[in-house]
Amino acid sequence: MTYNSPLFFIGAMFICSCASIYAQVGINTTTPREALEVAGDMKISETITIKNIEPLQDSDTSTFLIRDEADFIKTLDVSNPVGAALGYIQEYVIENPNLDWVLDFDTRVDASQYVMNTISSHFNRELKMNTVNGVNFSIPYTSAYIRNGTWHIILDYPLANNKNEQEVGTWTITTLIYSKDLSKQFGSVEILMNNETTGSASEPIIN
Amino acid sequence: MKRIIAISIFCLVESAFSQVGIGKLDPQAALDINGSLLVQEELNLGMLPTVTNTDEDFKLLTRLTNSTPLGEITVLDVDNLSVAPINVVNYKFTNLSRDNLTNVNLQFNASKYIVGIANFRYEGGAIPKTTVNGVTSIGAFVVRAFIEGGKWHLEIRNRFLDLPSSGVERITYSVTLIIYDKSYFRNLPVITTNLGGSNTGTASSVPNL
Repeated sequence: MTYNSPLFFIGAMFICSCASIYAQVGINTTTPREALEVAGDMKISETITIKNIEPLQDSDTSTFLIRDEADFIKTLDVSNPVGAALGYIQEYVIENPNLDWVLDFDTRVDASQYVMNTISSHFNRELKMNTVNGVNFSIPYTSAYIRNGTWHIILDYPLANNKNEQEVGTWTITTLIYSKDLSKQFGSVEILMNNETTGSASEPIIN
Repeated sequence: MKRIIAISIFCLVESAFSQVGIGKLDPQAALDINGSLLVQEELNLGMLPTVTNTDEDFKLLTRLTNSTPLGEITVLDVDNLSVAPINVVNYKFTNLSRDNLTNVNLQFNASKYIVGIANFRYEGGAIPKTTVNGVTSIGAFVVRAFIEGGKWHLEIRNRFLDLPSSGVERITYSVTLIIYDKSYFRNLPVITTNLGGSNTGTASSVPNL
């Protein structure tokens, strides 16, 4: 192959100069709006580096980006009622438990995929102590725990129950549910307090 | 003629490494774009390294739904925003009427935010139990955020008993409110279950996650 035609050279130079003036390339489009516009799908076998990304502003509306198992970039669009969100707030109303006692409420939320935390709860009935002469006091506890692969909730005022046992009580519990794809479970930490009131963890869990 | 050969060699070298520059003569990657890239349809990334434990200062990426053309990729930098996906604010309530914080309008728009309560702290005198006809009541202490008139409100009090008006230390309530932006978090419909007097049961439905 020889390149002895001056016309070829001039032609090549012309194409190059056009490219550098407009510096815009279209694939499947004759009117690229950016340096490169691909009117269709794009597949990058390796990695992508973006040097200049503008920060999100208050006035912007946006969705998060994620990559799915098939390597596609997708948006996490919370406004889509069947789409995924970063997390979910689920309120449970539990009516007519055994007085104030909910020993085991199965939410049926899959514990292999989600993490559930109770963030607040309250009971709507006046309570009395179940002790002789009504001595002592009781504070309520609410906890989410895993049993048989699903999240369960336990709720109680220990040693107390509805003052009027004919009144049907209702617990209202707010839970926060995260996907395990977005959170990390560090398990349980047991700290022996050695009969002291102050102590320290042996190491930070997150550093 | 020598210059033409030189150019052709340059082209050959370029194709051997298969690097292409757009608006750039010395591409640093297989495709190096000196400008912006617009992909109209799907984007597939074969290799996307994961963030490791030792990475710090990484930012989440967002996609604008109000840009022209649609879908500009931006970075979520909470320092640039007045509202982040998760917002944490501490509240302290002092000089209360007895123990009763019956209804405080927090003014957060319920259509935009979800309010969760954490780190509740009660400091001050104790609410005495009351005995009527031999039954000693401890009342019921409620800490809850609720929606009223499109805004988030807060209730913290013993609904049935009161702190004495004098002779005891005044109460201070402290809470941390976690305010989730509904652009990223979803408030699901309430699930109501009747346990029929039992202490064990199963939710009437499973949340649509």
